[in-house]
Amino acid sequence: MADMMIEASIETLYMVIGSTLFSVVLGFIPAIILTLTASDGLKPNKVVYTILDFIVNVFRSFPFIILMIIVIPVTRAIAGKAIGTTAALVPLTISAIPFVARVIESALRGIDPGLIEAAKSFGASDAQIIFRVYLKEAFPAILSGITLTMISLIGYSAMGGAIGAGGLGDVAIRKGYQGYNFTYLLVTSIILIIFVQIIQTIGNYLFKKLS
Amino acid sequence: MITISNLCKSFGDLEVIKDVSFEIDEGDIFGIIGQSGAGKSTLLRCINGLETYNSGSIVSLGKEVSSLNKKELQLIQKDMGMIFQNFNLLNRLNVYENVALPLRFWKKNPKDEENNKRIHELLKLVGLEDKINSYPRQLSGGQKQRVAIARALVLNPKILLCDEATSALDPKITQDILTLLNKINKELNITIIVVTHQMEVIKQICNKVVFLKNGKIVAKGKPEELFVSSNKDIQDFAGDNTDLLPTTGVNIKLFFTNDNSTSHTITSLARHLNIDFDICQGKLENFRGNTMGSLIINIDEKDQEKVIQYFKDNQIEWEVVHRG
Repeated sequence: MADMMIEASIETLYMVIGSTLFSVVLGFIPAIILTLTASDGLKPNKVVYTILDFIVNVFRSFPFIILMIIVIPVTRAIAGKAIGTTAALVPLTISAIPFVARVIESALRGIDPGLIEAAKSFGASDAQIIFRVYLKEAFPAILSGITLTMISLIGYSAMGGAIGAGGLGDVAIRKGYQGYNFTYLLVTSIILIIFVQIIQTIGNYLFKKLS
Repeated sequence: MITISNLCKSFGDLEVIKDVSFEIDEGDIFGIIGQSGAGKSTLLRCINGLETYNSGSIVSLGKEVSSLNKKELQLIQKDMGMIFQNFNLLNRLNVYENVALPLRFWKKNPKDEENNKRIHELLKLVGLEDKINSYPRQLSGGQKQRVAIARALVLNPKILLCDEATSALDPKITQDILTLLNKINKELNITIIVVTHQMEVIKQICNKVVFLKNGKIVAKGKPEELFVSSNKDIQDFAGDNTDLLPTTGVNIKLFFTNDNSTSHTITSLARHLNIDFDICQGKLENFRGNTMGSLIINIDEKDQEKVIQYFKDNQIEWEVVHRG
């Protein structure tokens, strides 16, 4: 059991860390566009904002278990297969992108508009305002948004076990639920709780240290 | 240096600046005063292009602001530093990096010998050399504003715009910041434009002032001229309360300028005309070192003519004040 748990834990971490990385990179772009085009942004554009806002909402409203099934063709096209931990990265990333976009957007829009105005008054360009003011000041808030993303991805990755993604969720469902073994359910749950606690503690520490 | 003519500005249907015209000369410490919502901060932002205007003209440093493209506007902004009520420092940058930020916007390396020297000089000027590695959260309000001032000067501007720069500070710290602004004006020869609702600020450092009400200029001139003017709006604003004046007799307000502030106007009035009167209200104020005062006396109606004649003969400024 110990070997199985270690292997499953590594698989879970692989899925969580991998999909966090991809979703942060890909979620950054819509987050920046949303911030820029918002009515109080640097380049207000109602049409672009409304459309992007709608798309983000649509993707966020899908229950993960359904999204996973719907994107199977995409998963096949990207990962070459629909089953396994690497394949699971695709639906996990897709589900996390809109989430990341929202948490980064809210971190960026939480910046005091006075700072943006001050930067403008010194003749800063829009790109400089994004990188030297928005991202610089919002960095701790973005980091805690990423912590939040990772934690929800732990939950999603466990759900992925239901359709053969591997990891702790897979063990819990096959051995614990279908095999009527309460010990497996308990141990996988405890490991997941420990993961969440560790990530949250690191996230809080970094937030405090950086802000 | 800056010429504003017939400026109008609206936010939607709301007219915030109505047909405003005035001129700011090199070396001025120019005050724009008025209540909250009078349009003064918006006016200031039109000068450096942070706000656009609907009609009229602003010629800043020889260029019509509304005609500039983005690049040209940034060049104008480089010549105009700005400080704010809430300081607007980046919390995640230390004092040095905050001051260096405008240099980075202009792709200048703050670590270059010349730039590095300039940052240190400015921090010395504002008295914060020892706080160079501190973060804004470790500083007091007055210190934050000093950092903001150093930051606003780092690009060697010709003009410094101050938007309610002392409004969040206590009276003592306000004094210190005003002294610093005065020093910057005199020593670095930087023209300063001050937007404020504090009469104190205008009195202490400004050599010219416009009084704005509901987007319109209701008075302009030297602060001491505004003080002695009988403009109702200004008196209301300055908190001159005439409700408590006597209802009988005639109330006359006398103005004391530097020349007669210290002479014995009141006692000699009583002696010369051999009349009795009451003193109802009086104050003395300081305008950049000049003492100005006013006094309201209540006289019998029968004495009005000779009292007024006495004031005329002695060249004392006066006006009849009505209650309420």
